[in-house]
This record gives sequence, C-alpha cells and structure tokens, in this order.
Amino acid sequence: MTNEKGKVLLKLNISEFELPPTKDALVIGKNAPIGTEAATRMMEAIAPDQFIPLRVEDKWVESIILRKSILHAISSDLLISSILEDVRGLIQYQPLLKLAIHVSSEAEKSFEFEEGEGLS
Amino acid sequence: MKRIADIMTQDYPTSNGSMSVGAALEWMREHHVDSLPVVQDGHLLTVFDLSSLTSVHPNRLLCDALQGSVVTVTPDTSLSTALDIANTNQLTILAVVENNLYVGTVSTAEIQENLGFCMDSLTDLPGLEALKEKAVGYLDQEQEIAIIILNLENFHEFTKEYGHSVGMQMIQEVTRSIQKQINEDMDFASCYGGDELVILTTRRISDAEKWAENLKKGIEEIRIQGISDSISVLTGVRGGSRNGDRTVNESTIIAEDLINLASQAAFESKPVLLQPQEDPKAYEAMISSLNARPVIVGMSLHTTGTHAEVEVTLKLGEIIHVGTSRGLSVAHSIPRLVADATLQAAALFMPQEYSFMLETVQTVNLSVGGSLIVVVVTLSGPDEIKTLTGSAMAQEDPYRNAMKAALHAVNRILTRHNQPKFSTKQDESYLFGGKAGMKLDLN
Repeated sequence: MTNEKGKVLLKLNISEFELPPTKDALVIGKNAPIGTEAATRMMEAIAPDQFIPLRVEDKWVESIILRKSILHAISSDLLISSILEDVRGLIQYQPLLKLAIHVSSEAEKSFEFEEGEGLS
Repeated sequence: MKRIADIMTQDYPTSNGSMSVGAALEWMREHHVDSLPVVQDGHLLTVFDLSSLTSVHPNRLLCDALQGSVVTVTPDTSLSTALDIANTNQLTILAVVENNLYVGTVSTAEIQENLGFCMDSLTDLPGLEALKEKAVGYLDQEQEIAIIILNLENFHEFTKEYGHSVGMQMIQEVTRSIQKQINEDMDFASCYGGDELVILTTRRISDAEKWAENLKKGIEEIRIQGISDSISVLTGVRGGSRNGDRTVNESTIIAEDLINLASQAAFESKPVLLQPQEDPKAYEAMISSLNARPVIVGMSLHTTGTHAEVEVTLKLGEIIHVGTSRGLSVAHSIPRLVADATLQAAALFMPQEYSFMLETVQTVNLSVGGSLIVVVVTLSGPDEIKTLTGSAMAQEDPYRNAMKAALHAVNRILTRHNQPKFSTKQDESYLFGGKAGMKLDLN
C-alpha cells in the first residue's frame, strides 16, 4: 500500500498595471505580434484621444504610437528620426518597445553693454 | 464580347480586416480558398493569398498585415486583359473595383473557361473567344490585323487510323511547332475545335501569307515515330483594319468576318482531286461539298390577317432543306421571321444534336453611310453553346439581307460539319496534277 502526497506551490509576483501601458510612445516593429491598427485601437480604448499612430518608412519599424502632447514640444519628423536612431539596434530583437520621452528646452541669451553700463 | 462584369461573383467571402492572421489562415484552409479580399466600408484594402499570410505573425490583425499595392480590374475590363493582368501578377483571383468601391471577385480559372481555353486538352492554347477579343482590341486602335487559319485537313482520319493517343501526340507536336514560330509581340494563336488553329497577327498581310506557308510547312514535316503519314494543312489568310469612328460593335463584326473569310479561303485552297472528265457528277458533288455551305434557293412569304409565314429554301450540293417561321405580320418583324426560317433550314444541314436559336436581328446605321443588318444566333450542341454573329450590308431587298446575314452567322459551323471526308490512303487514280495523296470519299 502506498501513501502518496502532492504539494502545490503558488507564487505570485504582484506589480501595478500601468495605464496606459506605455508612458509616451510605443514603437512597433514590423515583426511585432501586434500591428499598428490593433495597437492604436488598444491605446484608444485605454487612454482615449491621447495617442496618435505615426507610420514610419523603415526597414524594421512599422510605426510609433505617440502621446499627442509630445508633438507640442517637438516636430514629428525630428522626433521620429531621433527615436529610430536610438531603437535601431534593439528593435530587431525586441519588436515592441515602450518609451518615455523627456523633452526639455534650454535658452541662452547674450547682451552687449556699452562702456560704463553693466550689471551693478 | 464578354467583360468582367458578366462573369464576376459578389458571393466570394471577404473579411473586414478584424480577423487575426492565424484565424484567417485556418479559415482559408478549412474552406479551401487560397485568396481573401479585405474590404472596409466598401473599399478594398488588399487581397491576401496563403503564401503572403504565412510569413506574418498569426496574432496580427489582417488589417495590420497589409503589404504593397493591390492589383484590381474594373467590371468593364475585357477578359483577355484581365487574364494578362492575373498571369503577370501570378494571381488566382482578381478583385473587381468600380469608382474606388469593391464590387466583386473573379477567378483566373473562370476567365480562362469563358475565354474558351483548352486547358484540359493537350494544346494549352486559348480558344477563339480570346483571339476575337485581342482582334477587337487591335481593330479598336485602328491597327491592321491578319487572321491565319490552319486547318489540319486529315486530322480526324489520321486519328482514326492510328488511334487517339497518336492523334493527341500529333496535335501536341503541331502546337509546339506553331509556338516555336510565334512572336508574342505580334502573334496570338488559338485553337478552334480539335483540328483548326486560328492565328491573329499584326504582321503585314503579305508577310502573314508567307509566314502561314512556313507554319504549314513546319506542321506537314512533323512525323510521329514509326508512322510515315503526316498531317496536311489548309491555310487561309485574310487581313483588314478599321478606320475612323464607327459603331461600337463594328470591330467585333470585322473580326468575325475576317475569321470567316480566312476559314473560307482555307477551304477554297483544298486541292482538287478529281478531274471533271473522269466523273462529271461526282466532280460537281465534290465541288459543291468543298464549298460546304448552303446557297439560298428561294423565299416565300404568306400573310393571313395579322399573321405571316415565311419559308426559306436552302441547297447544299444535291440536298435541299426548307425552313419555316411564323409570327405577326408587322412590317419590322418580317426580317426576323426570314432570318429565323433561314436558320431553321440551315439547322437541317447540321447533326441532329445541334440547333440554332435566333437572338436578335438589328439594323446598324454606319457613320460612313449605309447600314448593316446584324443577326445574332445561339448555337447549342452536345459540347458547345456559343454565340454566332452574321452581317450583311443592307441593300434594297431587306428580306434577302436577313437571309444573307443569318447564313453568314452559321456558315462557318455549317462548313465544319459538311466537309468532305478524306481517307489517308493513297489512291493514284484520284490524283490531280500529282498534288496531294488522298482519296476523296464522296459517301
């Protein structure tokens, strides 16, 4: 007679589900399991009217789903070329990437003073 | 002439693109379709085939798997143009789009079938309909064309003598011989029945005539291993063109006329095998049967009150047949009755299983002056249903014109079924001028 005993181990990894799942942009590679249309519909459902798909002419990248407000700070052409440059090495192996984009601006002005003038 | 609108289907399955690639592939395999059009809000996005989808991640939506541009045709596209497009792009179906909206689908197989492709036969050549379409296309562009008929004169007897498989081997060799000499930029070969090849060419008529002789020579030199007999060929060449603005259907009529005339020329080139002095009666019968088409003997019209009865008498050789048609005795319906009676008489020269049905009798006014009477007939036979067209320039006698146009429509098919029979065995006594080596069988 045998007496068998079983044991089930349950382990949970708990973390917050971010809404939306990407902060500022989702880069969709051509080999990604989700395409632009499906990703746009998903983002629209999760964060209505906040993201916009930008189609890209690139060997590896199909599109960038971008937070619309970013475009107030930087032009889409400049942004796309910067993103493509940065993700190029990775997108071949990870065809779906999420991005956080920080846009900051610096301003510098110079003034010329007449003799006798100046900061006092 | 058929257009894509005549054969396209609106029942072919489509997707709106929301299906995943994996699900679409599974569905296509289950339903045995190898192409799937994606249509959103009436607009065609693409047509997927199995091979283009298998390289896409199965989780993607179809609308996320779009690649490149989509090849389409319009309902008005001619069948031969559509087939060219399908072949060039290696497509098994073509989506039909009108005013940027998807309106249907047509398969390459359907186009080929409607063009009368002899795909199952050994020739693998398109049928006469495809050639007519090409010819009309050239004529519409006012380009000069020539039609070459190559009639394999003793093919039936050859097959009877040596068996079906040798006959098929011979027809394959004949096709190969022609294809070797074809220049695809200017020539288009088609098959008509089992023993006639029709070639459309844009060569000048004098060049076409020389070329036809080369084709004939090439065919007559073919030998099947172990068989000394060969196939003899009758050639007929006729050329023409269309100038200026004419009626819409005129190119079709010219194309059909050229085919008929070339066919007639081929039969007229048949070598005369009997000398008149040998047997005058047999000679007369042979000449008549060589023409192989009936002549109009007479017509009678009887009217009683509101009804009319027309009798048309035709003669072929020694045989006379009378056709009758009855209807209302309204003036404009009489030519129709005359054409119908002509067809009834002509049908009696055909095997029983064939019949002619009169579709329309129309008078077409030509912009250059005068008018043409056009008769459209449907031929029904055991293996074929086809539309035949005949025309005659309208002269003073409208009834005679109707008879002529009706006969013109069916002459070609009558000729095919009333050719004299030849034996492939040599018989010196029937040779004329040492030409040809066959015996005429007048029975």
